[in-house]
Amino acid sequence: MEEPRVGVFVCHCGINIGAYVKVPDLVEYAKKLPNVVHAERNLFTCSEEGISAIKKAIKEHNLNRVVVASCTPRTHEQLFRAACEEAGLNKYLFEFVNIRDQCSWVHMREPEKATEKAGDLIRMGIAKARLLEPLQEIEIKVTPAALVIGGGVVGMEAALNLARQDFDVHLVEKESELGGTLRSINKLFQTSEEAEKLIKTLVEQVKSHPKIYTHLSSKAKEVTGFIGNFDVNVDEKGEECKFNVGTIIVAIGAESLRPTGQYGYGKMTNVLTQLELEDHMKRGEPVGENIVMVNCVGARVPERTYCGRICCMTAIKNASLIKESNPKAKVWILHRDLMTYGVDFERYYRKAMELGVRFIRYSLERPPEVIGEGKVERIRVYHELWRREIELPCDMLVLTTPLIPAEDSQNISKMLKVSLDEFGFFLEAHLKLRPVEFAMDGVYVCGSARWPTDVTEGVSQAYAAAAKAAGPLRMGYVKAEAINASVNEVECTGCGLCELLCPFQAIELQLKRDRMVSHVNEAVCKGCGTCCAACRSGAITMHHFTDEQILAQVEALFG
Amino acid sequence: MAEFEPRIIAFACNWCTYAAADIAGTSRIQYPPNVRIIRVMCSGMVAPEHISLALENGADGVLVAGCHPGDCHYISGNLKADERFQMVSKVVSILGVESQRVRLKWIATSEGPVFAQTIKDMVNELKELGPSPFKESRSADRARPALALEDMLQETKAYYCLECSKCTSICPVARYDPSYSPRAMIENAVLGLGSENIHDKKLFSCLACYACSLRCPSDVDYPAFMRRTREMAFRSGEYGCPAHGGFLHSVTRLMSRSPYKQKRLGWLTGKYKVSDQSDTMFFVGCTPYFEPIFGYLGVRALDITEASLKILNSSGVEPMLLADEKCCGHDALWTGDTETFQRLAGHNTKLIKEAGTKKIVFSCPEGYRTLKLDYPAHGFELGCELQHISEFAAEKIEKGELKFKEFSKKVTYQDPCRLGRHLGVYDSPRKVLEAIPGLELIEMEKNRECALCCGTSAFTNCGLYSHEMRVDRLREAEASGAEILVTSCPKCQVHFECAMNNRSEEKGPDIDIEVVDLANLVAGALA
Repeated sequence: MEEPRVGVFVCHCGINIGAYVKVPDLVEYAKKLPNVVHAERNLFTCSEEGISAIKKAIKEHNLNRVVVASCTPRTHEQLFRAACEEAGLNKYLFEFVNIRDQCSWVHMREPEKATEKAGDLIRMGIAKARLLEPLQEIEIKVTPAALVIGGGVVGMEAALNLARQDFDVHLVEKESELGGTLRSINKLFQTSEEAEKLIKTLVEQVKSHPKIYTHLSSKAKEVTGFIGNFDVNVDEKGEECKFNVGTIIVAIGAESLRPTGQYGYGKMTNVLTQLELEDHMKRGEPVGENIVMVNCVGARVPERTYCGRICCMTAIKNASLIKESNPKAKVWILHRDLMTYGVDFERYYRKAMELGVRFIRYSLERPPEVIGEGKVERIRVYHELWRREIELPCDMLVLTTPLIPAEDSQNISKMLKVSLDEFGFFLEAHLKLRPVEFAMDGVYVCGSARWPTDVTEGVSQAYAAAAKAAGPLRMGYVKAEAINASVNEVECTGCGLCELLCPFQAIELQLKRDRMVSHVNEAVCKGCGTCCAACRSGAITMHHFTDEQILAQVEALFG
Repeated sequence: MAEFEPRIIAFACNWCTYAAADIAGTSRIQYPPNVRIIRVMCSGMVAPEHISLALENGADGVLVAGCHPGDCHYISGNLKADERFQMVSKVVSILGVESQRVRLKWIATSEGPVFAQTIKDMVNELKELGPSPFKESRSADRARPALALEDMLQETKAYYCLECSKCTSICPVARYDPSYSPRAMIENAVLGLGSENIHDKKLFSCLACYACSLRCPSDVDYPAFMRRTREMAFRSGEYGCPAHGGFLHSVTRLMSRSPYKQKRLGWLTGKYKVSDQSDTMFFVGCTPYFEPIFGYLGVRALDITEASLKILNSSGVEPMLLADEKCCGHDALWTGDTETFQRLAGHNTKLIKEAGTKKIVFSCPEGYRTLKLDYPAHGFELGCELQHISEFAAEKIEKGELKFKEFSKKVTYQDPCRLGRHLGVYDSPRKVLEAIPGLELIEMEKNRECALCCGTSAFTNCGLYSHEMRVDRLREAEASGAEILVTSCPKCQVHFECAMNNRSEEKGPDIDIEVVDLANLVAGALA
């Protein structure tokens, strides 16, 4: 490494620093520190004059390290790095020292001590700067194609959205037909539109789109690589189909719980789930005169604590449809709480009451009981307001069950290295800030794969995921973090601790020259450094925050 | 005199606490100017040695601050920071250092006032505690002069090297890492190119296993040569590639300068009989520290200590334990940090002499070797008898004072280099094992003088080659047909367990053998 030539720029920040910290003293002090060949002060280092002073000094004094002592890297690091870069210096040879936010502003009544602290911070910054090394951000080329897993309404919408932006899309569906869960649905709330019609339109658009490659009766068997370059291996009707994509959308939906053993389900002939009722109604089969629906079957119970979210509306929809086609029929919905959260949902609920659907609340402690042999004849339920049990005649008992994670979730989670939540649904990177993205770059989630959603929400999410997935495809490249970790393969014992710890699955043990050693995928590494802190053999270097650099700061303070 | 102003180092996560400190600034919240922030990308980046080195260098307090659980920018880095911090605070507490000196705190971006308050609280607490007694770091020790190259060549007889290469051909390190050559190192030094050795990271690869010296026709003491060269390297700021980030070395240095009374006997219960009047002392060694540090490997190092006490008690000995015994200094000595070694040796020698001890028993061969050979060589005369627990047990068995129950297992024995080649203790452990009825002792192909090392020593340069050596040794043990590999060194145990925990083996053939310390096996078989 060439001998460091450090330039130090101390900022007055008008009066923000200058009024509390003795800036001229700091400049004189900095000049005496090892490897410092130039030090100056600026009224505002971030002003045009300040920036040109940095650039000028880099050239004049042949600086190869720059330290600015001013405000916070959170707002100004990019600016000063850019100045270095414009003067031909690698931007990672720049070090920031915060003497405003963390010094002059918080020690305003102690100017002597604030100056002393600023001096310490500058000395520490210079100590680190001397050890800085140039780093390069690698650019990764992105294949302008996407994979959408799941050919339900959400997957199809995502695929169409991407295809319309002119990207190739591989749509993989495990069934022999597109449509997903909606294929078993009768009509949609609140419009009472037939689900089949909606699917038909979508399927036609998908099939006729030249940019969409539909793989039916197919499963993604293996996915390797990272954002921009995922190698996908699909099992298509027993045959291998391989292609490369830049981004991936998971839209595998969810499954409806089959509540075997509860309320006579599976034993008594007239007990159905809501999903089975949909099919029943679609075929125009009679449902009888007295219909009882029980909500929250298998949901909000100790073994499955979550609320199924969309099932209340499903029950209300089916009850309303029965009443509309046969006003004489009696429909009761036994519920624990009603979740009617969406746009106009409350009105839909009131309309059901107007139609004559009756709602009875029950509690988890006293669930409804089934009366009958081989067939449900009556339902006994404890009415909380009357404080007595009532019996309802019942020709058909419909159980409202929640959506549960799709069977493939576990496999897909492992294959794509993305997380699942405590219930087994896919987990996004951040609920609020990154709602359709996974922590794994280039992989996105939408629809009921994440959490039970209705069609409207699912489609909105599909658009969001498609927009996110299109970003890197449109750019054509992604920049990987230059502040990342790397492994010395001779020092690595291949213990695999780092592989276990890495939150981004950026580290993998690989066979190299007959030995298992750790390998960091720079395209995936985010530079958190937890691997480096844990490495038993000291084989991992965390660039820009090396042990030597951190220790140099410590030693500079006390040395 | 001016009021004491503590100096605090805060390792602050870029995404939350660093930002919180900025918010404190924009809100002009005033707090004491005693903190110096070191920005890190994630609290999970803060390694145990960063904290211990900050203490070593003179920080009165160390704060590690990151995002609240669930809010980590890197998903879970803060949780890993927490795990590491718990380990560090256990070690700090055994050292006797006040717990207020190291602190972990979750401070979110919006919590500027919390940051300010945390600093205020720390400053108040630290002012009450007073200054940290640690002021000089390893750089202070580096400043002391080293032995001249010429004197070193004389002392180790390196001049007599015949360039026959027997050393390199027998060297286990060279067998795995062909670029390592003891002969080349000697030659470099003899030719006056000693500084090349100093800056060669491989200098720290030598295990000091003494395989070479036993074969050298010219009697060159290569391990001593290497140790002296490391002394020079240490003074040039070369530390090799320390295992576990150098945390163990840092803890040793802290201990060597520490005025605190340690809390190293917290594990001792009434189950074992010890006596302050006894003329036999048991040297506990590093196991109380290994407990938190290597707990994650499933090694309970203190089991070895407890088993040794059981053996002593069963033979009618109620040993004395030193509440403030310090590290024997083995690792410091063998990594070139002679000053730390001397401070430790001085401390231990004083305590041992004051106690009027006649005999010291060790469960650790490194402690045994160090007190037996290195203390006197550096002018620390103990004037008492020293024994390894295997020698102690063998003696008692001979006298019929230790009786065993049936233990029908096939075992093989690993000769630790410090006990075997360094001190020539090969027979006692075998005698002890053979005294256990039903136990069948099978020798590995390489045994006694030819035994293969566990792959690393003094916690340095524990890389790929160390691992391979370890795996080969374990395979050899397995191939012998034994069910248990018995060793009599706690470090062998740690290193073998580490190798078996190695995840890379999951992807290849795995090793299935139990590794048990001699003391544990013997204590378990006592009638």
